[in-house]
Amino acid sequence: MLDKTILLVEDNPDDVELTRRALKKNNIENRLVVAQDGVEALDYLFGRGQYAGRDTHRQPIVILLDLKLPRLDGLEVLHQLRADDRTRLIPVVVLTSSREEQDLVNSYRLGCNSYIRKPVDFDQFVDAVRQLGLYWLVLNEPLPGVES
Amino acid sequence: MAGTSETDGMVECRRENERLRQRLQEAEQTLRAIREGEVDSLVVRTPLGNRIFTLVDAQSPYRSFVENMAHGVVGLGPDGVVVYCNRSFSTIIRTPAERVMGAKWRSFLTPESVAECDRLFQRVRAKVEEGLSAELVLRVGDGTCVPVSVSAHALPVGNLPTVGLVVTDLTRPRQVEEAYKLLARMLDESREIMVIDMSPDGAITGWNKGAEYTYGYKASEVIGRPISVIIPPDRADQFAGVLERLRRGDTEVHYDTTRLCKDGQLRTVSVVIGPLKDASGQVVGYGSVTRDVTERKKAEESLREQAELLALSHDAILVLDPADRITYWNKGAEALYGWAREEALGQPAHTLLRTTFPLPVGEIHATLLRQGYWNGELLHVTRDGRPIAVDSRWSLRRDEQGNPAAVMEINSDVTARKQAEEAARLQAECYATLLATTPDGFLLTDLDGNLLDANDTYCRMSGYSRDELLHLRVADLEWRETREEVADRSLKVTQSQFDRFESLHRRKDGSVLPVEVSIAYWKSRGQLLVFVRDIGERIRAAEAARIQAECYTALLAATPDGFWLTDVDGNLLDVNDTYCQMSGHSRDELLRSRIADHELVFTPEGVIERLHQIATATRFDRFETRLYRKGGGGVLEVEVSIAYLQSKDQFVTFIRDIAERNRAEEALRRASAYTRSLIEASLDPLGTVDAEGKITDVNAATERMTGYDRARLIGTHFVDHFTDPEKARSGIEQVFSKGETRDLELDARSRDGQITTVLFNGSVYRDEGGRVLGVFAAARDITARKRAEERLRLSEERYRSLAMATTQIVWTTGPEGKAVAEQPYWEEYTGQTVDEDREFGWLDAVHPDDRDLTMNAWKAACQARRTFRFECRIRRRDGAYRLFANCGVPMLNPDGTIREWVGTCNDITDVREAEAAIRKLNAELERRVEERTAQLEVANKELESFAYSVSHDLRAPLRTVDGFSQALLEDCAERLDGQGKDYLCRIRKASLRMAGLIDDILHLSRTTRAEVNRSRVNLSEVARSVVAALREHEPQRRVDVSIADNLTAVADPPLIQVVLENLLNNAWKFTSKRDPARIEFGCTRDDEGRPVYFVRDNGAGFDMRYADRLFGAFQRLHRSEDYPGNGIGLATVKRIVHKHGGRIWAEAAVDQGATFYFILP
Repeated sequence: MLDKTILLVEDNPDDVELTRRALKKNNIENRLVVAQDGVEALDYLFGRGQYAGRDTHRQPIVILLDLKLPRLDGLEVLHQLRADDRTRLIPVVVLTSSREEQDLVNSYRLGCNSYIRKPVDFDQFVDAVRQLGLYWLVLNEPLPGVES
Repeated sequence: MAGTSETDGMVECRRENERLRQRLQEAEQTLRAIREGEVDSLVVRTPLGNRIFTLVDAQSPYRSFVENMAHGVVGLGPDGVVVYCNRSFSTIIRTPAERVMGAKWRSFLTPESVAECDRLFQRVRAKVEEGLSAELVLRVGDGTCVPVSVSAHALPVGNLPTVGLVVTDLTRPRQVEEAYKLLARMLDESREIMVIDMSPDGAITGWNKGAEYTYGYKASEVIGRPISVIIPPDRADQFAGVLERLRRGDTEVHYDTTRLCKDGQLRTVSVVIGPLKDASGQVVGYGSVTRDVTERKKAEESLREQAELLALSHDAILVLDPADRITYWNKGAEALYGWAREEALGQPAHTLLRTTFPLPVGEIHATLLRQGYWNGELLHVTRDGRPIAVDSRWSLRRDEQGNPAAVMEINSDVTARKQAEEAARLQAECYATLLATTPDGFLLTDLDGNLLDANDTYCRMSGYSRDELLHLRVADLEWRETREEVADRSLKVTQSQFDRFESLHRRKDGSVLPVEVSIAYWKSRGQLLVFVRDIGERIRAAEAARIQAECYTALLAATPDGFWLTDVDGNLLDVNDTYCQMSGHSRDELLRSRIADHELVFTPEGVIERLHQIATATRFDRFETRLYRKGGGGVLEVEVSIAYLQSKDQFVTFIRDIAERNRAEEALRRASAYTRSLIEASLDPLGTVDAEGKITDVNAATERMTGYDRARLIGTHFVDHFTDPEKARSGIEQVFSKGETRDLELDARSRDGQITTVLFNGSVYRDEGGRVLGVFAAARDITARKRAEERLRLSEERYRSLAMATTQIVWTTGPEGKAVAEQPYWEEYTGQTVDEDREFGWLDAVHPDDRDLTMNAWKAACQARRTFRFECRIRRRDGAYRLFANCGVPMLNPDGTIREWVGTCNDITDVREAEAAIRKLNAELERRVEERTAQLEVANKELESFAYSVSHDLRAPLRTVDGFSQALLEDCAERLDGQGKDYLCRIRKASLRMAGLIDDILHLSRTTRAEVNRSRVNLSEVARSVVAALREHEPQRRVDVSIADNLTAVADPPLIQVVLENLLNNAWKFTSKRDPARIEFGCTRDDEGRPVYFVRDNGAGFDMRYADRLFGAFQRLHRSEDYPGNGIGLATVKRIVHKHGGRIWAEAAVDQGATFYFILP
């Protein structure tokens, strides 16, 4: 279980640290891979660029995706990974500060599995991450071909 | 504890209310008491202290009188405060008395009136005697002004100077005055009514617009000139008569007359004139009001024209208006009554003619109204006082509404007939008198000679008394003859009827009386009439002979039959007066004439033959024939009885007028004489023609048209009266063959060669068996068409004046578009001369590029023969081309071909330029709108992206602040003291509040941007669900919530949800310190009946001074420690309500709860 990688796509190092902390506080010990922008996330998933040669059969068990990203934004990332057979079935949780309805609608339309608004209150955030971990990492049966 | 203090407040409030109500009741009672006189004094509290007003002198009846007076009464205190007013004043000022009393008097005055009123009060205070009234203007309850007259009086009430005012409303008198002024102005300006004033000597002093318009003189032309300038010479006497009547004291004279216009035209007018008096009653002139009734008179004229047609005979024909005034009087009437037309017109008929009616007039009028006509015998008196009997036929004419409009009265003189009847009656009486007074003695005897009666004359002659005579026998009186001889003679008389002989009678005294005895046998009674004439004295004998001759002549004269004595050659030897009257000839004329001159049926040879036959064979003959009356006066229908006097070889002829009899027969045959009168009344010549083409009957119109009288027309050939007999014959033949013919145009030739164009219509008429008897021919005199042409000419004249008055170019052309006549407007505008624009010369003034277009438009229009319009440029005389809209209308001949074109050209250059300018402006505006829209779109985009970054970027740092503060607290807790931890907690709290603010800003912004999609929303249900959520959140709270059922509105459902959430949340929040809290959601109506929704609570409320800040963003009226919140909720609510086009406001008081009202249109 501990080997199941979580891909966090997030450009804000503070948020990366806080996410890491929240996961830790919920005893989610999975390996966390951080991509700092959309391009890097796709490189990782498709074994390109700095991740060239990565075994793309091993894909993260869940992707936590921020929407507002440098270079390539979260929605575009979502669009591309839903268009590729290798990544089509990976659960994607959109994790964002945005409360814009437009973002929520577009995210679901492009096939995200969950949408979590990052609360300012860290306690609430911890709580949200706990539920997320419970569902996606514990209850949800991973699909064949996904890293296990 | 808050609950207790709140209850105290309410109790206090209720007590206050109670106190106020009590005071109000007291005030009302006091007022009533004053009115009813129960109060004698009043204490008025003023800022200067209490004042006492006593009403001691005012006895109850006076007060009641004052209270009920029609004038307003006001009492003023020394400080100018109204201390009393009665009901009338309250009505005048349209303000309840209780609001007038206690108010400053000056507050009811307009600013201008205040000064005036002050002056009035000064006079009162100075105790001057005069000028104690003034006209003021009051400002009344509804803000309008009322003019009043106010009289002021100092009132000795107690020792304080008070003033009493009596106020009279002048509104009505002012209005009347205004109305009079208006009326005067209208009269002055009126075109229909002429108002003319003149001085006593007839110089014009006033002349209004109507007079200018009608008579054509400007006021400046006629003022000062004698009124006679408009009086035609033949009306001068009439006008002098009118003035005379006014001088004698008549206050008004109404008469119809004619007036002379400046252009020489005569107008028929109806005038009312009366004296103008100055204040002292001295006559200073005359004023007249005149209406032009020319047109009305023309209409009456046409009725009278019709009446003229009825003048077949010399019957008198009158037309009376509904008031029995004569409006028509024909020649026959002039002849019959002796009154000239001018004298009779306008007079009440029955007064003028001193009519004696056979029945009560009311009954006659009732019959007339019921049947439309009446016929009877009237007695009239002629101008020279001669009574005459007339056979009067009345027929009623109604107007379009069916109301009686006129009565036509046709009177024929039956005096002669009446006189004859009277003469007969007189004769009988005469004989009786004769018997009594005759110089002849008279005896009645039986066949045995016994005397049965004797007259006075014989008594005188014989010296016997009547009684003595009745005991005697004829033989007793005879001097010579015996009883046998007398009996023998009597027997002879019974056979010969009559005997006359001379004899001698014996008087009582024995003397002899030479007598001539005439005996007649009265067969029916078997008695003898014996006349005994004293022939003893020659004088008496001569006298007797004279009386006899007179008797003969009188008898002949008095017989209703005409009488001729003729010889065998038909020469008239003697005639009686009756025949003179019948024939219209004088006796002398008749005695020079022959039978054949009068006979209509027999030829001269026929007359001689008939006489010969009577003389040789029959001795006596009786037959009907027709005789001429003198001078075309018609035909006598007579029955002649001719007897041959063998002794003299002469003929005695009695001629009886059987027209009456025939007319009666005719009436029977035709069922109604009315039909005939209709035929006679027809304007169209009508007649009947028999199968041989001979005229059998005509009406008066035919007589007028042909110039022949009826008698000469009947029997002539129909076709001979037309210029084209063949055409007429074919018309008649067509009637016989096809049953009718229509509108055959023929020219009729009258006796004097005058040609009348008529449209001939004919149809056959049949007897009861359906056999064709002849043709009923009707001709329509199309002189009317000439009148139409006259109207056309007038219309053209009008058209020309109209053209002169217009600013357009008005033109006419021939049928192909060639200019024929002078084109003054065209020439004026283009500068072309008459010769230049002639034919198609006008085309030169059209812009060269537009000439083809113009000619094409013309050609098309000529072909279509319809109104055409097109635009082209036309050269002005200064050489500039201007754009014209042209319109031409074809004037068509009766056959549909074009007679001419009439049209106008309208300069539309300026219109077109203005249109172009407007188009340019519109384009410019549209461009600017587009620009602005684009700018707005950009701004919107910017706003959206701003909101996006707010939502995303501003939150991230907060999260960092909060997250790491928490991390510090958790990870480094042991290294931080209590203060350090407290600081970290504050940092966290602040970052959370900022996050909340950001959310609210976004919410507000989203609300502002949201589109409103309306549907019907059940507000009650929304409110219930909101309250349910609140209860769930705070189940421990005790809140009475009342929500009205079924409140609905047409609104955006999610947005209206936000509104109710915010308002109910607020109510919930601000009642948190009430137990129980009360929240109400309901609906009331505003002045215009629109629903006003409200949310009411009994919570903390707020100070209304800050109400305007209530709906601003981040505005808070409470500390967040007391009531948490960020001040964005009501701002959001307001934006939503405004986006719906509605309105929201609040009413509240500190600690008394708040109510929020909103309207959603």
